[in-house]
Order: sequence, then C-alpha cells, then structure tokens
Amino acid sequence: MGVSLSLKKEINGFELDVEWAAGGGLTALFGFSGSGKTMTLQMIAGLMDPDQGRIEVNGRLFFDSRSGVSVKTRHRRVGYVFQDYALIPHMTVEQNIGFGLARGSRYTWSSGMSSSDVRERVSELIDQFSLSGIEKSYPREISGGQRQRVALARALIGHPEMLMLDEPFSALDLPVRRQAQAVIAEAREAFDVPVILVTHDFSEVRNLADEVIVYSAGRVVQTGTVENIVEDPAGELIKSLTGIG
Amino acid sequence: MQVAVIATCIVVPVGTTLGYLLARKAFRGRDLADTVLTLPLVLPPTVTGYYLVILFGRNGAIGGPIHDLTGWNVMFTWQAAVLASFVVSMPFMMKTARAAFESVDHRLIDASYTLGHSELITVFRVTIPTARKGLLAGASLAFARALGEFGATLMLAGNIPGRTNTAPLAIYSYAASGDWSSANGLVLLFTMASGLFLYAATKFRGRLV
Repeated sequence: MGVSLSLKKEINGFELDVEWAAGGGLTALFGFSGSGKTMTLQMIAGLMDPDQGRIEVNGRLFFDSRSGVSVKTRHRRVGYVFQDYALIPHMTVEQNIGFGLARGSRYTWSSGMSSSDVRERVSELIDQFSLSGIEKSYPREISGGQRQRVALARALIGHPEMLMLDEPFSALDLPVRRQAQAVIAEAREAFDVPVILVTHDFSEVRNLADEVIVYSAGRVVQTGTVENIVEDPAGELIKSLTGIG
Repeated sequence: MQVAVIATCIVVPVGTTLGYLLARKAFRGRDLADTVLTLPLVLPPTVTGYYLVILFGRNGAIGGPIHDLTGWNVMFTWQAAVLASFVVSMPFMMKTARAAFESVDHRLIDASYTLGHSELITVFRVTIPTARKGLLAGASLAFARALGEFGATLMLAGNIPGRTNTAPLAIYSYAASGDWSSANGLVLLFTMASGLFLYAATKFRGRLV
C-alpha cells in the first residue's frame, strides 16, 4: 500500500523536481503555498503530466515517461477533494455523492450497480457523514463543513485506491476545523485508504499525519515522522515553517 | 419565421459543439477556424451571400457536385434561406458558447474525471448544465439574428413570393412597390413577434438563475 513517485516538470518558470515514497497511512505534504504540493496531487490524479518521471500507487503503475505509460484520470481511481470542494452546483447533496459512483449511475453506459443499490449506498454515506436532512439541498445552501463532508463522501463512495485532500480545512472557520479533522481521521479508518494531505498549517500535520514530506520551492527538503521533524528540523527553513524555532 | 426556427435548431447543436471544441481543445489552426467561422458576423450580408452563391451555386465547389448527382440545386429554394440564416447566425451561438464553456470552473470538470467519468458524460452532466445560461443567451441571439436575416438570403434564395420571401424580404418588396399598408402590417407584426420573443427569453433566463 502506498505511493512512490519521481516527478520533473517545468511550467511558467517554476520547476518541480521531487522524488518520494509514502506508506499506507496519512502522509502530509507540507510547505508554503506555491511550493508544488497541489501540482504533485494533480500529477498523481493524472490531471497534469510530468515532463519526466514515474508514479506508482498501491503497486499500480499510473505514469512512466520512459515506457510511455499514462493511465487516464478516470481509470486511476483516486479520490480527490479539491481545495474549494468542487461540488457540482446544479446537483443536490445526494446527487453529488451519487456522482462519485461512476459505474452504475444511470447516466453511464457501463453495467454495474442497479439504481436501487446506488440509492442504498448513497444513503449509507449520508448517514456516515452526518448529512441527513440536507440530502435535497444544493451546495450553495449548506455550510462549509457540510460541503467538505459531501466532497469526502463523493470521493470515497467508489472505494478509491487512495484519497487526496488539497488544503481541506482552509475554507473552514476555526471552530469547525477541529471537527473536520476528526471526520477525516474517522473516514480514513473506516475506508482503510492511504491519504495524502496537502497543507501549510503545521497544527494539521501534528494532529493527523503519520509521515511528513516537506516541500520548498519545488524540492523536497525533509521527510520523516512528525517527531523526526519536530526534534531534528533540517535547517532554519523548516524551523520557521513549523514554528518550532 | 419557420426558416428562423429551422435554422436555429441546426445552429444550436452545431454552434455548441464548435464552441466547445474552440474552448477546450488546443489544436492547430484553432484561431484560424474561429476567425473564418466568425467572418459572417462582420462581413456585409451581401458578401456572405456572394460566397454562398459561389460555393452552393450550380457551378459551385459544393453546389456543383450536388447538382451533378441529384439534379437539384439549393439556390432559390426555402432551404437556401435556411442555409443563409444558419451561416450568419451560427457565429453568435459559437462565440457565446465558447465564452460560456471557457468560464466553467475547470475544477468541476477535473472532479468529474477523478470520479471516473468520461469526457462525454462530463460534457452532458457537468459542463453543459453549468454553462446553460450562456448557451441559452447564445441561442436567443442566434434566433434573433436568423429572424432578421435579409442580405445573404436575398443573394442565395432570391425573393420569390410564396417560396423564399421571408418576412424581412416581403417587407422590402412591399416598401419597394409602394404597398404601404401591407408593409405597415407586417412590420408591426414582426416587431411584436421579435419583442415578445426577446421578452420571453429574458424572463426564462431570469428563472434559471
């Protein structure tokens, strides 16, 4: 279980050059905004291709520039929670979650689950993520915390190979953040899925992460457990990032 | 009126598809394609009509082979009026569709792909519904333009009573021959119909917001 990758990409004067591996737990990509963290997620999801490199998730090869392999996004089966959640505005909570079941929704032609199975599965997720009562609401009518839970449910309903969260708490008010962190910790346990969390807030890393990969200006500057990094920060930069120094 | 309705029915799917391709696909000659397809918007209708005559006339690049095969020619038929309306109103649909598609939040489309959906499903379930206001605006503009089409129609379809004289052409004939009472009636009718249509389109769009 886990991810291993090496990526090289030059785009608009920015250069990303990273190589790391992570296990099946929760891995935090930590660093300032603009250090290439989100770009890394997009490459894992196949929304952007590296110029050179290789991406492997749970033993499946997603991308390899040398052998010319590039699996399409829709076949990678990675759950992606976008920074502002990217809920489809004209779909209700229920429909948004159901949209995560590509196979078996009545709008796809591939055979799969019957529509009653889909309904059942959606209502399970609605209970699990405490969304009862707002199934028929539209994204603009619900709170930030609820939106985030809808995005999580939608990303997880198809049982993805891994879950990626891009700054999932930045759009939330402080009191809601704690609660949202607990939701993510629970979901991770319930779905037994490797998670990559992108964040620039070290308190989130402390609360949630098993492993940390520290990014700076398109490079990896340190990897290790939270304890490693707190006890032995590699250089002033990391001290200032984590607020330890 | 029927001519404008038929033309719009063809313009909407074609213009939407072209707008989508122009907005989402980077291909060689994209700007050139956009320019050529937009030309009828800025050219005098007579120039557009002239091109159509050259292309679709009995000896034209497209009209010639059709005539050789079937013995039929589009010129001076009601289909010619539809063709002329289609060509001049298509840019309105294409331009607004392109702008509407370009303004769709790209993350919604990315999200659909990560959830395992194909591009086609994404277009119908995410992209078009999100861009629907712009698409409707484009359709109403295209219809309004098709309704008022005059110059290219006159060139390609002529002005044959009972066959190709659309309302604008009939008004022209009445005025030219001094039949002011018929002209007045038709002008009034035309203005009311167009106004009613625009009003309905605005109302309808307001309800979708």
